[in-house]
Amino acid sequence: MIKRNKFVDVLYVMFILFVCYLIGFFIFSYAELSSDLVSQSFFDYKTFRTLDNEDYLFFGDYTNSIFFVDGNNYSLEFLSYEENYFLFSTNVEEEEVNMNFVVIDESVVYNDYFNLYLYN
Amino acid sequence: MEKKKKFIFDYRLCLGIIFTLLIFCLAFYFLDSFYRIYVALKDLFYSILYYFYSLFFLHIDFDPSVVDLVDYSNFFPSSGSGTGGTIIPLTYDLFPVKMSMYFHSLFNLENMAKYLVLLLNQFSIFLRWVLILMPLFLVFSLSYKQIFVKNKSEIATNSKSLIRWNKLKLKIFDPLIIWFKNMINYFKVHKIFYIIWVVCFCLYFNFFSIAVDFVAYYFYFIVSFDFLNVYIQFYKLFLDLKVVFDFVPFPIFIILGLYIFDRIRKSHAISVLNHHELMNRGFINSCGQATFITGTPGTGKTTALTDMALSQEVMFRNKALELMNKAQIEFPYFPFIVLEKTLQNCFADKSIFNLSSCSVFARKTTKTFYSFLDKDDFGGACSTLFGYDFLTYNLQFDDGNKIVDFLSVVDPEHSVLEIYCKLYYVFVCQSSLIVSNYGVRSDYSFADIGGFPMWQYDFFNSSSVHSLDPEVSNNSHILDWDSLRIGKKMVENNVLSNAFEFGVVVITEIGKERGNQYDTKGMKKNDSSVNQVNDQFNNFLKLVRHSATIDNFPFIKILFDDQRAESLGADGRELCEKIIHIKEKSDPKSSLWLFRLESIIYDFCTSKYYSFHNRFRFFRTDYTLYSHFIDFIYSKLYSNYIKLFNKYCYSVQSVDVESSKLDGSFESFQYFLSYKKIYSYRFATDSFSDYFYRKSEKSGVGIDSLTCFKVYRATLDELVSEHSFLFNSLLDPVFGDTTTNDQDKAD
Repeated sequence: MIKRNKFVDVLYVMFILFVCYLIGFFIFSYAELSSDLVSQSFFDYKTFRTLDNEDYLFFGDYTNSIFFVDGNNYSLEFLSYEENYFLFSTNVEEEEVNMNFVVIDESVVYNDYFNLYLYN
Repeated sequence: MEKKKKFIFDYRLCLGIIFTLLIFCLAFYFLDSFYRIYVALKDLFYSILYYFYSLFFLHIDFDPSVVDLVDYSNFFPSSGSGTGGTIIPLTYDLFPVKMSMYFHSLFNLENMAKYLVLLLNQFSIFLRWVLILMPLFLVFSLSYKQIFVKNKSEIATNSKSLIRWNKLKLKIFDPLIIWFKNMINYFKVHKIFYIIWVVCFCLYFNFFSIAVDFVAYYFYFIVSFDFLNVYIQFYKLFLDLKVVFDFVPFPIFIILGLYIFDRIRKSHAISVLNHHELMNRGFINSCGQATFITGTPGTGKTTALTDMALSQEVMFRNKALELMNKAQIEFPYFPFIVLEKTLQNCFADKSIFNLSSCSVFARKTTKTFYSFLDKDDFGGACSTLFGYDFLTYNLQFDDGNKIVDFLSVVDPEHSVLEIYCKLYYVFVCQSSLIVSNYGVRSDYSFADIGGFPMWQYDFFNSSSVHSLDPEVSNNSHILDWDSLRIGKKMVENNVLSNAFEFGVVVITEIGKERGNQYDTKGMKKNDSSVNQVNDQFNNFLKLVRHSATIDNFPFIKILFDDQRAESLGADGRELCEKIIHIKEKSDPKSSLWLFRLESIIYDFCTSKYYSFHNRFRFFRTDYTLYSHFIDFIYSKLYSNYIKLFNKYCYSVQSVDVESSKLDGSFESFQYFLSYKKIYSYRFATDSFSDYFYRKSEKSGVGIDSLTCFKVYRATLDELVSEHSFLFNSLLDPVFGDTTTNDQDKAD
């Protein structure tokens, strides 16, 4: 029979339980993301055009509250910047987004605050 | 008058029809799947059209629909399925975005908290079940102690509860199980039901649509090379599979996942064992023609010896096949199949029975061929040469070093015909190629359906049933030592003394048979009887490769073992190119992933079970329901564990390889012993046990007959009764010849 050390056995079982926990967590997180964001905002993206005629996709969590008001600076929770779009977590309601087209000044994209410009 | 066949009502048929109708009814649930197969077929049609239009440079005035998403709302507006709702994003642009969001969510505290809440919820459900079952546990633990009381009933009787259970089992469970098995067998025989069900579910779960769309995209892709659209196909795949994810309950996926994981880990374990086997073969090849294995008792000398012999036998047959393939490609138009069939007939009528008779056959054929050629009878020559058109194709091959003759009168040994006959004999020889002084069992299966025969050598997937099947098993040949002597022989005119030509010679405890220079002291070459000095065994070992060489490859391997290399005389020892010293054998290791977890569970249950079992056996002489269930559960656990252990475990022997000159230089290697290969009744570790059995059988006394010491300190008489050299040498000068006194007493 296979000889084992009891202490290593305990570590081994704990490691397997942890791996199971992680696998469960990965599945849960993906399911949560798909169920919340896919249905509500993830696919509900808008294309924004900058002043230099570059197209950007703007994603955000639009489920909380209004934040777009013309001519002011606004706080956004920056998530990531990809090659041709920005990813934010915001608190905008959907109907308000439809009222305003927004472009983002690329020069300040890595800051916590962004200048938002209106674009018609 | 013919009687009309009576229609016999079979309820199983009705059940099959009812079940099939129920599956048909599921079609209303899977309406989208019908639209999907329609779309898939349309995709296939347009893709094939697109393929031919592109091939012939025709103007394409349509879009291949395979690149479009499936919109179910076109067909079933009420279904509201649309194209969304899948688990991956709609476009490739969104895919990295979602992955990015996913990555962030993994480090999101709120998300982690949600997950923990979910786990706690599940745990609370588990606790609810524990609470429900708690009274049962209490009853169980209270009754547990009552079991360990001496029973008043007769031995080997069943308790009342067990009798009731057996009745219940006999009347309900057993018939139910038999009924289920019967139904399964019925549907296995009447495959039409089985086929209908599989087809229905493949249709409902979009498997047909996926397959058709795959072919459609293949036709589209090989002319368009539209890599950008590959993502859409993945999206469609997930969209199609969503039906399965929605319909099949999550626990089924867990069970399926575990089953697939189990299959993968077993397949990986077998590949690990095969890798070890290849490493072993490399090691055996590096050890030369004769190898001597030594090691302390318990390190597995004879085990390694047997393992090497089994591998070597496979290597010989593989080598024969390799050399035959070489001959076939050198003369590609020769009808080797005709030659092989002729050889098979000769093997059957015993006109060919060894390598020398193969030579005789080939040389006779060569002689006949040339005699026809001398008479200018090309037809006769062609027919002698098994129908080979030697006038069109050649009888020689230039390999860059030399001219290889197919038939040669001058050098028949190297003619391809003779070589091929010998190789074919080695390859198809269906008895074992091992000649040993103890039994070695192999179970390779030989397959011949009329073409070229093949061997199946799989050590790790062979059924354990083979170990008891005499038709599949091939036991090694008994070594007649006279066949290894070219000097004096033990039996004059021994017919088997010239039988050995090639193969694997396996000899355990060689030192005890041959002895070293001290053991053979006093023996002389000119003694009238055979002894280890005048039998010329060593000379045979030196020359044997000459009889076994075919196409410059020696089909001979000699393997010895003993505890010490010095047990064999220097001359015999130096014949071995390498001496393998087995240092130690490791504890069992498993090639199976997560086997340690199974081992932990098994060991825990084993300790609990034996603690219960031994206590139960001590108190009780009857059988109870409780012990019946415990035995049943544990026997299943044991059976599963031991099978995994025996099939996928192995030990590693650490070996030092030394030159036979014993000059002190060592190389370290590892030799792998797979339990499945070597412990399937391959050999008996107590191979000489029959001798001791017969010896004990004759004695008429046993261990109980041996006198015990009266107290813990031995008396003088007790020491004398030991018949020890030590005590006799101590006692003799003081008390005289104690052996005689003791013998007298015994008389």
